[in-house]
Amino acid sequence: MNKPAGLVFSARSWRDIPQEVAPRSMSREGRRRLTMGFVKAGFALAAVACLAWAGWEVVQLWRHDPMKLAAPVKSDPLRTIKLTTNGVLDEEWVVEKLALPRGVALMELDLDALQSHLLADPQVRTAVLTRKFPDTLVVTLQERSPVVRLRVADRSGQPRDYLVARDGMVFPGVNYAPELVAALPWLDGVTLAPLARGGFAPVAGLETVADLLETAQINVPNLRRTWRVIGMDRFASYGEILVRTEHVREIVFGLRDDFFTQVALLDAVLSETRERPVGMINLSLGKKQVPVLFATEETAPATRPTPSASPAGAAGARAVPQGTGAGMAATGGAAKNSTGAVKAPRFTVSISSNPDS
Amino acid sequence: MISRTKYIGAVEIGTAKASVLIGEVTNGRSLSIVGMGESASRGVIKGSVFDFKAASDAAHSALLEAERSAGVRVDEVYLAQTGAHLDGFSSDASVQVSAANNMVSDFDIATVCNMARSKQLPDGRMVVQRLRRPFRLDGRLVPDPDSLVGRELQVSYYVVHGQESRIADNIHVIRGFNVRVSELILSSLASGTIVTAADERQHGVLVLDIGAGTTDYVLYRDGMPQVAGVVPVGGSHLTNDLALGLRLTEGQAEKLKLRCARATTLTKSRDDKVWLNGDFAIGDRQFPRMTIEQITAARIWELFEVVKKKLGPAFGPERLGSGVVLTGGSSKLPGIAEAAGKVFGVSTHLSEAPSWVSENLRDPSYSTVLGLLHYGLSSRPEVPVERGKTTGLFKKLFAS
Repeated sequence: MNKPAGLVFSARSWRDIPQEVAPRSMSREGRRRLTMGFVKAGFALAAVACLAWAGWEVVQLWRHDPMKLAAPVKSDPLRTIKLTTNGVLDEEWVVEKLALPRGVALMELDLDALQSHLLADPQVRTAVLTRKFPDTLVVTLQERSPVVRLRVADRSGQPRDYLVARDGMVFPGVNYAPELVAALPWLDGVTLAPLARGGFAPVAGLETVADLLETAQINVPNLRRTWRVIGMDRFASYGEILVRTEHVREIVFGLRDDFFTQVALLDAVLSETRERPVGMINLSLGKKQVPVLFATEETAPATRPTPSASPAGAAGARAVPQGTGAGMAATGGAAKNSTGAVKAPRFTVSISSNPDS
Repeated sequence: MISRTKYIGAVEIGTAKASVLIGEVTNGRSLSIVGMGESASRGVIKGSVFDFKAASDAAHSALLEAERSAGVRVDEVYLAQTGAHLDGFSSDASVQVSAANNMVSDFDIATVCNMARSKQLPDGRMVVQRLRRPFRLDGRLVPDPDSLVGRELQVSYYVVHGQESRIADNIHVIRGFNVRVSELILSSLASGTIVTAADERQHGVLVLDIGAGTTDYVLYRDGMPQVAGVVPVGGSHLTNDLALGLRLTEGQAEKLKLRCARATTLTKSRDDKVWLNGDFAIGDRQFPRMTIEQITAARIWELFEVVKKKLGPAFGPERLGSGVVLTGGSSKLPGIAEAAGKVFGVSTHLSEAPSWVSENLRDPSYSTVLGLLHYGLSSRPEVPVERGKTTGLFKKLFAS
């Protein structure tokens, strides 16, 4: 586009006259207005600075000592604790856990500290606490779901049962129905590391175990119901998970193939060997070859396990397996290479077709 | 929506008095006059400041009084500009319409306006105001040529310019009060806006604002100001003439002027005499009324003749459909409309303030300050902005 002609204005306009006037040239009223302007600007700056400082102080107080802030605020005493959870914990447990003094005002509650109290329990994954005026504390929890259970002998030698979540957290398990707990398989072959603040360090590899259990639960629920012990003795070294069921003394799952394939193979093998008791099935070698060891009378697993226990060591508590299977009774560590104790004819089942079919 | 209120001071630093009105402008649209102040002017002769301190004191005193009466502080000032140093000239320009279909575009309008506005001025002179006259498209008058079809687009500006130092003095008087001058408006334009109606301006009207030291004039035609200027003659010259002619002091002459002066000679007999003071004390004496009338009438007649001469070819009785309107403090002189009618040869009447103006502001001496507020708020930019024109960062980004 062309530029309009004559755009340059040579004639100066009155607007080119500078309007800055030195205070000396001002009248008394003008100087007074100028001074007042400076004073006002100064006050405005000071006010802004004061506001900023006050805000910073409040933030710092809120962060470090919120009780001081709560004091000047009038609020009603706490009367109700409302719990929302995805698990089994109830309001009684929350009340007991928080241990709030009687008649405490809602604004006096240190929500951060209370949240820490709740999160100290490993059964609680997340906790959110909010004030609902005038007198209600709303607690929202997300709980961990147990995947397996384990029994640990404490210092006095008494056995204590714990639950283990998918992320490996070990917790006593409050308010769970007995039948739900009873349906969980026992965990074996792990060493628990006690923490200074109480409880145990998370068990490594539990996520893989949880995946196996989940795959079995989804695809072969009838088989999964018979699983009694999950052994992790050879998990770290050989990448194997050992499962003892009501009918099979040892099923070896490997980490090389996916669990769906292995569970499908297991189902196929058990279908093929329905007539004879099976001592061991090794699914860790791949789907081309599944070694199966048939059981003798004395090596066949009992259908009703009875608990046994051993004292926990100083360095770590050894999980105690449940059941009466040979070679796995007292220490649990004997599960490794347990197939060596079996004296039974051995054969290999070859699967040529896709186990999915 | 938050309403934005601004307090604007309309200031006229005249030869006889400094007047201030404070207008409350809400959202740039509605105007309420909330304060008024005036003080006897000092340090100003014929509309120009010659004693900065005295002029400042007078103007600031009026501003302060207005602020006190309004109970607010002025945010900015619209200042009236007058003075014998003001002069004007016509600046014309024409362009061929650039589009192939001969449709006038924003580009053509901007080009012709810029050409007409770009005339140079001598050193020390500054533009006070540019008065745009109507556009002409192939000779026909058009208020807005945008999208009309034609070959040649013409525009004319009447450029009013003044001496830089005088204008700066005027502005600095206000800056001494620590308030910014946001608009500098010709006194004649301010007065003309308030004392004439739109249809009068359309038919053609000459407005004469006769003050104490100057007479400001503006000629409207086709709804727009055509010529504006200042004649350094006003009411104080009548006083001076009487003082010289009758050998009186300025104070005595002023009193006599207010009592007996006329713009036309009405008295026929020399025996009709008036007392100087009327108190029959020592020094009180008689003067023929006819002499007084003759002295003042001659000066008024001369004033109108000078205005007529300065208007030059722009003036024509046949093009002044609405005649002449007289305003300003000196327009209250008896017989002045009759005298103007005789000189200009058209109907003449004294100004009347619009109906919305309160009673205490209806005096013709307030027409300039009233007009400052009105004109300042209603005026629009002289050059139409090209629609769709990109500026700033956007322009820089997409500039080739």
